[in-house]
Amino acid sequence: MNEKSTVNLEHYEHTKPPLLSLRNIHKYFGKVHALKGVDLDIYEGEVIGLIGDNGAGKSTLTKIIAGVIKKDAGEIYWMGSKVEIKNVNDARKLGIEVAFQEMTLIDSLDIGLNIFLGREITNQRIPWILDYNRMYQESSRILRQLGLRTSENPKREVRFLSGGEKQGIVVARAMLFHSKLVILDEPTRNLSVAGVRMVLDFIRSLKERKIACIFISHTLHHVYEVADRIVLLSLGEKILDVPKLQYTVEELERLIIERTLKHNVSV
Amino acid sequence: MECGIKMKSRNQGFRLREATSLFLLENAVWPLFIATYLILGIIQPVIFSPTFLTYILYLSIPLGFAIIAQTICLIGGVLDLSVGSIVGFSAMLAGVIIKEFKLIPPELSLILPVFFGLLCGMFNGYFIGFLKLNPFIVTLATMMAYQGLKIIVARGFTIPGGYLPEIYLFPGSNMVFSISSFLVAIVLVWIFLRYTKPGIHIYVVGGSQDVAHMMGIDPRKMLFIIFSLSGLFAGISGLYYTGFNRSVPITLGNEVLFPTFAAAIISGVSLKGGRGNILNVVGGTLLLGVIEAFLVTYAISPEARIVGYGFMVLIAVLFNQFRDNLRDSILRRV
Repeated sequence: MNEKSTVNLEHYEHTKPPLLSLRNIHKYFGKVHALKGVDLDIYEGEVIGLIGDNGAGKSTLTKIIAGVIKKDAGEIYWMGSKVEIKNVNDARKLGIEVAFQEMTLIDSLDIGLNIFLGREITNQRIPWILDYNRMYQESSRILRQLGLRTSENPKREVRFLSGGEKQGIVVARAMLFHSKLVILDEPTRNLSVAGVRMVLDFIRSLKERKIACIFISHTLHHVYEVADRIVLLSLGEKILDVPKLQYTVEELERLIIERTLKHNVSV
Repeated sequence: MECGIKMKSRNQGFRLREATSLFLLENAVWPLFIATYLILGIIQPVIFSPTFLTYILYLSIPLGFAIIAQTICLIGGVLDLSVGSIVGFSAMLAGVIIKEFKLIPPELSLILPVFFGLLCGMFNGYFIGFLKLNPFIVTLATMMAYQGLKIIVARGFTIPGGYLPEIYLFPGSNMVFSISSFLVAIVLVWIFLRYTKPGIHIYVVGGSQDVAHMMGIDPRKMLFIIFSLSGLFAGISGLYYTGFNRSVPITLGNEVLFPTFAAAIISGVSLKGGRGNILNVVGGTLLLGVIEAFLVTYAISPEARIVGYGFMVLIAVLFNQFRDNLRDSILRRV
């Protein structure tokens, strides 16, 4: 079961080409071969649960998709055509939004500025002057749509927000900029029970809006609850790529542990 | 960012008392300045005369430009140890060139120190931004290098004002021009930092370089811009010092670094980066000016003043921390 042959893509019958296709992605960090030829297809509105133990290459893979780091070999296709993602802005132009935990918010800036970080609205006549009014208005509007209390005061500094409210900002970004793919790296870590519920609901709301999502988490129960498909990475290789219902949480957990022990990786 | 007072109108549950205390905390440097002014004035009544106050402001302008330079760096989450050395070196190099090559048109000579300051800053910025070296080490190294270069180009001598054209001395020597141009510069920098895209990105990089990178803002480019701006304002400071002194003393810039830290930090610019309002820096500049003037009227030795500046930095850091904690405790309740 834990052999490469279990990779099963035949199950999917899609009429459209995948939103994102990765082919034979390699990444080296010095002598470490972090990704050893990973293939991955993501379709519109699909939630992929990306799992695997520490050092499996989950973050490396998503950082390549997000343009944070560069791949060493392989191809990336976006809606059927080949693309090069050289930096974060390239990824954003395609509609890829990153929501790396605690990595995309500036605590000392307010909610409005954080939502527009790096993509600030500027005055129509004077190109580099910021238009705060419009940024706050838009922020309030989108947060209200999400049913968040933070919409009342977009001038509040982000560091006073709860974990769930911070996650809300990230989701607001994805909606505001009409993202097609959102990458959530450990979005439920350090969250309260209510916060976790909120994030999982957000992921469902992304799905309703036809936004695809890559959801990375060590908490398999969270992944299992919202994912359509489970992708398991181990030591830079894709071990498993199956519809969720083919496995139970317990089986997945056992699989990860088996891989870890087999390769004698320190846990 | 500081937004306390603006919150009042938005959040009805937010009481006036809290809004007032937030406003006072964020701009605490002003009450602090007024208190210091009153206390020192009671001890030394000459400080109370309006002409003396104007003179204090005038006296603080050259240093004020260096404080702008340091403030931009601190907001960007880095520090520039070479600020004082750039002040001295850029002014000295410009002075030597003007003195030796009399062919340079006097109007053009005004640009020289600013240009040299910018070059020094870009040099820092290149090593820190694009070669990713530690800002502390780089500016420590260039602090010594620019300091040494200043003495080398001067061949160890002060340049007397007689060698310099009157227009070159004008910005720093004319009180009205000096003060008003400083205030204009402060407002321009404030608009740049708060209301422009590259300006707000300095706050972002100061908040976290990693987040900036994740959000498509290139921290390397921003660090280069931050240090270039710092050098530019240090160069302007050099020009104003030259005019103020009506000469380029060989010691120029030697006592600039510590006051820039003290003034920026006491004005509410956090050492953590990403926080601070440049408008308050005027208050910090004035506060330092009053203390300096007070010490001068009592003929305190320069050595003792250095000791004083050292402690002032410490006190400023403590004060800032206390203020930030207080401010947080109020905002958390909102």
